[in-house]
Amino acid sequence: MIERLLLLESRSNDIYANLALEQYLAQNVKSSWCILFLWRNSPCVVIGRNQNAYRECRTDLLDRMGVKLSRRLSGGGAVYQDLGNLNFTFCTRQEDSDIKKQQSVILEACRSLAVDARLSGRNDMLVGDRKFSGNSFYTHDGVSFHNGTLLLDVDLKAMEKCLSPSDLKLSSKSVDSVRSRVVNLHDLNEAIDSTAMCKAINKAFSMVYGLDVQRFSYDSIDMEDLEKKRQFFSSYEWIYGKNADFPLTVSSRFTWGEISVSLQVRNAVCADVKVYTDALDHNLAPAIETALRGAKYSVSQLCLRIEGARLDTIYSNDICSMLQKELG
Amino acid sequence: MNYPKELSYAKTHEWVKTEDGVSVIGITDYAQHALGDVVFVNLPQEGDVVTAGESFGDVESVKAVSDIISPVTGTICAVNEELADSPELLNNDPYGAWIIKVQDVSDTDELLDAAAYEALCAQEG
Repeated sequence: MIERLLLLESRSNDIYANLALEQYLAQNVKSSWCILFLWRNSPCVVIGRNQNAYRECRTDLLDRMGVKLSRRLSGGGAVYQDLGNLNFTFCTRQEDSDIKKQQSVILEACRSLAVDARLSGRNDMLVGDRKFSGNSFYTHDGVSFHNGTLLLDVDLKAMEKCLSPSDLKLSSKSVDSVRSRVVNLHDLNEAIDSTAMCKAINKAFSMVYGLDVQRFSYDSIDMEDLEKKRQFFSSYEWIYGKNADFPLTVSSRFTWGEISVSLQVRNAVCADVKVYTDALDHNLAPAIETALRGAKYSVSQLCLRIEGARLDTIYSNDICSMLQKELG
Repeated sequence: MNYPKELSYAKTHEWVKTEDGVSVIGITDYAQHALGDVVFVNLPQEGDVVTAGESFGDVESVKAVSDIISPVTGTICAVNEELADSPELLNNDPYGAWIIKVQDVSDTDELLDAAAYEALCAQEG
């Protein structure tokens, strides 16, 4: 039974800090509490717990665009977010979790803003047949959290660009995303922005549970613990390394000969490299193998390694352009 | 719902079969049904130590990511790697699709027999 409602609006727009705060709240929620956390992020892609980053987006492109890549604890598919997206997270002890009720808070909030919202299955909220909210769920150590996105006024062009993976068919054991037709709520009602939506959710939260909403105090948060969690969520191993084991071969023909580079990527690092070439320079293949072995798997990292390998510039230029063309 | 008599059960919906000092562990028919279609299994590694009541992996289904709790304490001596390629086996054959095998087992006193476990599931609805 929920007896206490707590609301926290994040002061940060950093995806890693917000994922850390979400986990912190989950670890500190008490029996009979329902904590509702509302948060927004600067441009970022958030992939599901068990996804392969490279199958969801072009990681080098995100880097160039200044879009942060991150991985959440809960499952499901990849989403693009900017400040036009509002996230909600309901944290409760497992026995206090009531997903239907939690979702009705969001649906009621939308209706109070004249949006005819409905639930589709367990994971999606739609207006008509267009999706504006994706929900995912996580239980761990007796705690449940339920989080979701709300498309208010997201840059849909950037979304399309950021959620397009390269054409490489990477074979790996991971969860794939499902594409949906989406809609921004601001396009349905111009009065909807994050301030209006936060207010509406706050009101609906109280109404659905029949309790007053208290503010979760920022001062009570253990900042040291939070910082540790933020470092975890921003680590290479967590974001890229999970479910990133796959073999990959790129090859091309140049004026100096043919070359084929095979990578065995493990935890997003080039664990093994084999190079075959009919170039006359017998040192070429071993030099490239040595240069790439142990490199983090990204086009820019691989090219940096090639450029640092002191090959003849004709080789390094050609090989880098091959990597950029095939992997980028 | 199926509750094979020869197995022992944990309240957190895992089954155990212990033979010659090795415990074979999986999730129950009730668990797979509650989870819905399983899309991914995070498996532990051989040699990892598991502790009764603590999670040793998790499963992602269309509904949620949930822990798998070890019903015993011991050391993992085998992992069913087939589940990495075919997580749906947990739905299709929950008592055939074992997840881990554990040796040097201790701490098994909290397990239920089939009848007691069936009663627990009936309560949870």
